[in-house]
Amino acid sequence: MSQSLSIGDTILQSRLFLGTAGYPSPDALRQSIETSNPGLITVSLRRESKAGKGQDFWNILKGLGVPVLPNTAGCHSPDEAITTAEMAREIFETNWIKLEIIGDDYTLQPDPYGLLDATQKLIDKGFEVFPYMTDDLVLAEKLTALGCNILMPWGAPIGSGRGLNNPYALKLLRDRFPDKTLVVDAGIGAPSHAAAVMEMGYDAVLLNTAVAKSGDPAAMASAFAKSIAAGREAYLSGIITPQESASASTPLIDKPIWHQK
Amino acid sequence: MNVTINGQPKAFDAPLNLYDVLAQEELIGMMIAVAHNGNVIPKGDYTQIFIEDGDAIEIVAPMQGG
Repeated sequence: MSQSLSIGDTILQSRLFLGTAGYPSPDALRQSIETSNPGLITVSLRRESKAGKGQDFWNILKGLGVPVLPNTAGCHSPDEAITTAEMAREIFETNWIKLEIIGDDYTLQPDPYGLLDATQKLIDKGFEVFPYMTDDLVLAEKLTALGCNILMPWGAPIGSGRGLNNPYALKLLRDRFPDKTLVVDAGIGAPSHAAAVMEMGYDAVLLNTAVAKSGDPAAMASAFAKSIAAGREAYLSGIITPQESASASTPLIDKPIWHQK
Repeated sequence: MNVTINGQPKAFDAPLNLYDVLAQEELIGMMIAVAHNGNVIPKGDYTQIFIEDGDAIEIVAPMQGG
């Protein structure tokens, strides 16, 4: 079964979206990308100096040939996020932007009001916005009304590894937006969490910490790639509806009766 | 004249354009984006942006991100 995903004119070969932060070494990052073949990788922007740290990082990524999704991580206002998005477009020559505007420093919960404001302005400037959002249904409706083709609700707070805090809300989003590209972004801890997302019919999973901070990032990245592929295949195959009562799987017709008296 | 680059004040000799600043910072040809007084400047326009005393320049590059 096909695991590819189309975003605009771009066909992504995997439904794993992998972050590039927090790996124990540049080699661990490169190996994690190589073992998991993610559909895209996320990157950020930071101030550059003569030391050229950003150039060293980019040299690792550019040879791998994986599409890049720049983010606005660390932004707390629409203006900051818009300037960052414009700088990202200038560097990476893409109109894709993962729009992240933090509203609460403890939970890193995205600011829904700033998100709507910035989304409107960025769409007007020609961006394809990937909004990092809570799982709020009304917020999702407003973002799609602005023209978002993609929604990226959190599973749980960034880096928490808690998995899916509110599966009900995530399933509701899937049911209400059957034609939008839905991606769970943040909070994933284990491959089983990612598989559960895909079994709900989500289009992709974006994760970072669960791989980067694991004991063996390259092996964990591979495990996530497999779980996401398995979850997608299961969804497409039609998962059975849970029942309250038992139902024998082995047919009873022609069963021999060994102890007949 | 004094120009702020990535939040740090720095002295330059006038006249100066944005390309000159990047050359002195050894960043020509690097994977960067530049904002001048809050406006993002396309790569091809660096020589068209003339720098004045008190201007602020932000220079960014790709970095690890989730």
